[in-house]
Amino acid sequence: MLVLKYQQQVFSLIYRLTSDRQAVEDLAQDVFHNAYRAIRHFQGKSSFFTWLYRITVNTCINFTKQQRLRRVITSVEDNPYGDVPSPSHQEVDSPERALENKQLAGLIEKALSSISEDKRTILILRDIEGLSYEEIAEIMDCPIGTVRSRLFRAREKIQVKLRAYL
Amino acid sequence: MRCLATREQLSAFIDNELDSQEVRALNAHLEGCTSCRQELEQLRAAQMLLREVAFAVPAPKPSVHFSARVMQAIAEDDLSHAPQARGPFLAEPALGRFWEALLERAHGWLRLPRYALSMASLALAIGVLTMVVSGGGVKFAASWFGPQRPTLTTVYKLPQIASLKMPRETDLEEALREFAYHSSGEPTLEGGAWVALAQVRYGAGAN
Repeated sequence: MLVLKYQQQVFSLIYRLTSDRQAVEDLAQDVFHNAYRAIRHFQGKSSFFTWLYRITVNTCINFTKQQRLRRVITSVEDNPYGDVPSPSHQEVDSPERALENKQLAGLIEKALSSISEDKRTILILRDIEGLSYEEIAEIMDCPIGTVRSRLFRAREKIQVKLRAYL
Repeated sequence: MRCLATREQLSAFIDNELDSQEVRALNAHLEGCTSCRQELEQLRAAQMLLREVAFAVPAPKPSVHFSARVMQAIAEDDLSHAPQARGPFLAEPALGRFWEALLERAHGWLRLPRYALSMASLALAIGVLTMVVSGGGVKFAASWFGPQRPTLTTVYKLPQIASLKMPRETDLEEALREFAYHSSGEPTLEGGAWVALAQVRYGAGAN
């Protein structure tokens, strides 16, 4: 079944785009529900996977817009990257490493939230989800050249924010 | 190649998205430009850091009941949008309204359940139409009650209609009678006329 086949990828993308662990399952349900309702419009011009990812991206964009309206500014120590599992649940070498990851995760989240939504989405799709430029162009409904230039600008900004840790 | 143009290409370079000509030009520039080489290393390090931290903070996994929840939500949505079930004889709008009105009155007079009245009216309608249409037309009359039952729209969309220059009727039976008359020369909708209609709708093998 398509839900079972794609659910983990959808979960992963939603989490990376929203950084909200609690909202992931509800949003994923919305994604598959919306996909079911829109399936008659799927013309097969792209792969089903990129079509489903486009629905996922749009669902997350709508969610983050709503969240932005009621956002409370949090500090880095609150770890806006979500409730990172405690070291005992992680496959890490040491608690120090887990803490370091947690702090880095917070910094990365802060850096990501400083760039525009489309650049952030493209960066996540490429560097975390590992999609090709062509797949990203289909999902974002833009030319490959646009993917290339937005990715360059996103990386430029992130690099500046993380320079001390590189 | 100037450094500004190079820097834009570095991002695509680390993704292996440059063509061979661009790669050659970029490599030639990098050989002589320390600043761009450093920029390239920084880009790679930033990408690697992003991936390492992302993998160290795994995404949540779907619960075992997730797919069942999705299917349930879809089923509930389908139910809330489902059109009222209508019998085949009520699918045609004018006829449907007639039978709906009849059922409402019969329900009031006889105080019988609507389902029983629907089945009785359907049986009556089949009987009447069977009596009206004779010979080979009976078989095709039965096709009226199937999913492929023609409507006014489908009749007027038939290619033959345009050439016949039929007057536009509002009653389906009248329209078909006109069509049968014009296409077969038969004055009434029976026998050969039904065959002609069936041949148009279902192909030359229909009989």
